Amino acid sequence: MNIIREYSLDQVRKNRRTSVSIIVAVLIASTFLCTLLVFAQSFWNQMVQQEIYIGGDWDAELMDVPADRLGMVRDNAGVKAMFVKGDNQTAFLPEGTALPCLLIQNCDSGYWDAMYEKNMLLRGRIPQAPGEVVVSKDFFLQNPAYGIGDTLAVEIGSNVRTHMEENRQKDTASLTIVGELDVSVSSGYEGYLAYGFMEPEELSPDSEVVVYLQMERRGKVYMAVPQIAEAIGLPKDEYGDYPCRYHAALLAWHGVYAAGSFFQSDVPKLFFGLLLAAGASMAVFAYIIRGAFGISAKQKIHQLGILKSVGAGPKQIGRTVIYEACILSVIPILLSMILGYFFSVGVLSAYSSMASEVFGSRMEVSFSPAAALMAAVLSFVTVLLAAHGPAKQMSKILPIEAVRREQYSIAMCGRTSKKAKSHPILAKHFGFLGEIAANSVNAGKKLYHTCMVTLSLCMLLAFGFLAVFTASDISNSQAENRNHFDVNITLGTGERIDGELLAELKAVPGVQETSVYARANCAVWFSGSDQSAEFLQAGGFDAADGYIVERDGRYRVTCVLVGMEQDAYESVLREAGAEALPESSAIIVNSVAKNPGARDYEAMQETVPYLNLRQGQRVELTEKCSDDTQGDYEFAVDVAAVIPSMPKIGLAPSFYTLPVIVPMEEYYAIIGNFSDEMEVYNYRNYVNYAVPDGMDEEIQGEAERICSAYLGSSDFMASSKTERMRNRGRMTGATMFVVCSLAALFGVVGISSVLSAILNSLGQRRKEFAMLRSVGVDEKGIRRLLGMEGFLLSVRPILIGLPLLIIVCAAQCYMMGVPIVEFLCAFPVWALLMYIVLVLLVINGIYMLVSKKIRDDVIVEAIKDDTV
Amino acid sequence: MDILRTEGLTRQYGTGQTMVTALDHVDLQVERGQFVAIIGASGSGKSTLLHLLGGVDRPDGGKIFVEGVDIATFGEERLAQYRRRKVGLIYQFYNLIPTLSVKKNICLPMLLDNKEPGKERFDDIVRTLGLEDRLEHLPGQLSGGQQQRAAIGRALIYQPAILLADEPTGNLDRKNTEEIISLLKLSNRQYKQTILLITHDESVALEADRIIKIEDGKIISDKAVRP
Repeated sequence: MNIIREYSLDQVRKNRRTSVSIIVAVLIASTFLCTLLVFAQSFWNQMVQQEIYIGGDWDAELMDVPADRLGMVRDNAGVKAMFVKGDNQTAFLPEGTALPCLLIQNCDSGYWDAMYEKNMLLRGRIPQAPGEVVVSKDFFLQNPAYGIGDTLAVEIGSNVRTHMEENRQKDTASLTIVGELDVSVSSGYEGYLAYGFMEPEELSPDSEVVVYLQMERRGKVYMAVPQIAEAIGLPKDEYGDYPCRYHAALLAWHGVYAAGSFFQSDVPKLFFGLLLAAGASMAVFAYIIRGAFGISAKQKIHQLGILKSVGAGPKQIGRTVIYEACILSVIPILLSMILGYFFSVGVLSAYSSMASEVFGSRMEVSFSPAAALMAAVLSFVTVLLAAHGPAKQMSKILPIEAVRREQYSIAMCGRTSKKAKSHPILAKHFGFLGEIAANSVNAGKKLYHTCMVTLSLCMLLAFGFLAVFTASDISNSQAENRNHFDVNITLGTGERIDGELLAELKAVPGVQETSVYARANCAVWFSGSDQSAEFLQAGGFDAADGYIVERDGRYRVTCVLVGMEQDAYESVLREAGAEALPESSAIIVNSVAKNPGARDYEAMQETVPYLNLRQGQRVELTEKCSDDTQGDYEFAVDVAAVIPSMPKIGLAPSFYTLPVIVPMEEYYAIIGNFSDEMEVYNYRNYVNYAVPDGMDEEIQGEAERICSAYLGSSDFMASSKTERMRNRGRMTGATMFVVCSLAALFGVVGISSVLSAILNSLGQRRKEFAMLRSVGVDEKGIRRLLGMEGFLLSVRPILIGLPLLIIVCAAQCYMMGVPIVEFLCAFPVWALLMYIVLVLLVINGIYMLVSKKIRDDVIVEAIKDDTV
Repeated sequence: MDILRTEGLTRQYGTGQTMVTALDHVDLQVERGQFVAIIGASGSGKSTLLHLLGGVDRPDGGKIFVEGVDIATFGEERLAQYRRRKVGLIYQFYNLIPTLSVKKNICLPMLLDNKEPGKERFDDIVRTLGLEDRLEHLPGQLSGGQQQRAAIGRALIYQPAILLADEPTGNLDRKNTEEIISLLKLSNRQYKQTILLITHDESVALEADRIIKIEDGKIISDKAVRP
């Protein structure tokens, strides 16, 4: 074996105490990194599974594909799997049912396996053969005589949307109900939604279906799918695009993006966040472990000097530290894979238990061999980074200084290079021993540096996050208190919301005030002269960089088109002293924040008139509110009234956004011309309730009951102030649990490095203590001296960490506009005090335990020079 | 012929008011095969001179020519090679690696070069040092004299041209002192090695060919004891 390797191995075996301390530090660091990757992978897996659960496992969708070209799609080399939905049918039910027909969408077996509809099954099973159907829950609700397993004799027509036409061809058929689905369709269709089964091979050649694709190479999907569409002869739409759609959310989780959408996605931000967290953790742990390697290197500096003096080169000396790092990192890194996994299972299980009621699902722990390998590589790189510093330091030492062990005193500790400081306060209260204790702690400053930083970091990490959450909680509560409405309901079926449902929601008893509205983004182009004098004085369009786009001297102002129910709309008009115009009547809220950059809420709310708009003016709007908006429908409204503030409907427009309020019918007429995707999205309705104190959850429950009767559970969402507050509390608790668990790992490394440094320091100073005892310092004096040293050492991480924590807290309060007093009332100061007491106890405890050996030393033996 | 020559060799420690000049413009010449004793009071600069000649310390000024090459200009790697192959250093406190066997301690300079010593030469040195039955022991299991002999073996293993001994007998009793000096003289005669020996012991110094006396970092006398 190479002599340097042999020497390193011998040193590892001999210096067990230091080796154990390094192993512990590497083990914790690797466990942390492994945990971080397990968290990341579990989160990624959860997101992917969630996306598949709610959206299906597909990459791209081709619409209006003639059935006779399905073979061409399936045989395409880029296609891994293909699922088919379509061949829609209307099945006319026998007499006696509440609604006359079933609106059936047929799906092949691949579709049922991969897509999300199976997850909405309430009872029974999915169809497995032609003639089997699953029906929506309202079918059973409205026709209680039917049950699963019943066979229906029906007349079959084609095409769901034209089922009301009378001149269609009908065939008789029998359908067996095999399950109940949690879905619904607008009552305007006068039918129940149902899903059937089809064999694509049996489709008539002229029927058109929707095809879902899983690609062989997902990364090429945005290039390959238009090529497939072209190859099978699909026509392009008016925008020059093939009738295809991509599962962008799922693709983004796999790192695949459409051109230009990379920076708009949250996934790269999360990925960079993970990289940042991993990089920062590696840097911090490298710094911590560096301390352990530093101690080890210092311990053998004399021997390294000997090696150097007999001819070992700087690289060979450096290698002794690197070999030591390699030898000591193998076992802890391997062990950390197991520890990291079990630690993650524990933390994520606890996190899931706390957060599952908010998210509605539990997070499963995922840990693949690739993630394990990545964790091992990152850990090893961290260890090498940590060892690099001491290795370089050792390789540079002068042999004779190392042989004399001067390097330790000159470069590492500064014991001899600086004058001893005087400590008048300690000297006054604790005498000569107090001064010795303070000088010793000062002299060992570099030795204890890592421990101090680690414990300070642990404090800063745990309580810094707590401060962020506390300030955020207060800020959210303030925002919630400012919210006029207590219960908020969003209804989104992709179609116009059923009037009966809205009527029932408006009639919920106990509600003091209700608002119903719909909203859609659009834009209007103005010239600079359209700005009001007040707005110009506050900075005008030029101060709204990022909000207002300027092109050729024209400014694009984002608008929010708000649809209000006719009676509410007229009420706003009446309050403004105006009347509705015969056509395209609109109310414009012409105000803009005077100080959008203000931190204080009141200052932020101060507004000035936005534009020079007047009653009777015609305003031209466009659907294209950003360059990325696909649709470009243009429409005009006539200004019936210009009002200075937004009516209290529960909508707070963004800065520089111009609200344009129209009656609901007019709203629907306008968005009916928007691009398909935006039309579907903008059919959403928002219902808000103001209720008496303490009744919000009860009324939320009632609203949910009503919505469930009309809609599938994924088509509506209701929340109340109380529920949101409870969920925020749960999320804060769950997140804090994760943060504190990770911070605890830092704490363990901190304590381990404190232990190692104290052992090392006291071991090296045995001679010093023996000398003190030889000149008459008794056992009580030694205990007192060590006690003071321990105390001075233990207050340091607190003195470093506490001011930093105060800065973090103050910064949080400043940024979120939270009053300090309110923050202090909510911040768990007791937990901070507990942490401080714990640090004091642990360090002093370690000090007193290891110092017992010093007190038991035989003076003459400790004084003897043990140099070999 | 000179094997070793210094010109204006200077070494200072500390800075400002605490600066100490350990060697002050020392000029010295040593011929090949010479046995030189260096004497002087504690702190006179004799050890500093030896360490600079051995390449384990760096001068602040001046030149050190060894076989005509100035080692003060060497980079770290070349200086390490010099220490391995050209000089053998013997310290008062032996400075053996406690975790390596005596055999490996002796072979250390060659092992660092990834070489093994020739068996004949190794056996010859070990026999001369009287360490045949101690080769697998650890240094801590040896007496002081035996440890110093192992240190001498380490200095001799590469057959360096120069042997530098810093009070090699300072920690030994009379019997061991005599044995060590005999070994050094033998090495000087047998292998034609140049030896520079620091000592406080006048009787030891008188065994050398030449005695140099240093005081306050300067050579104050340089006398040949025998031709």
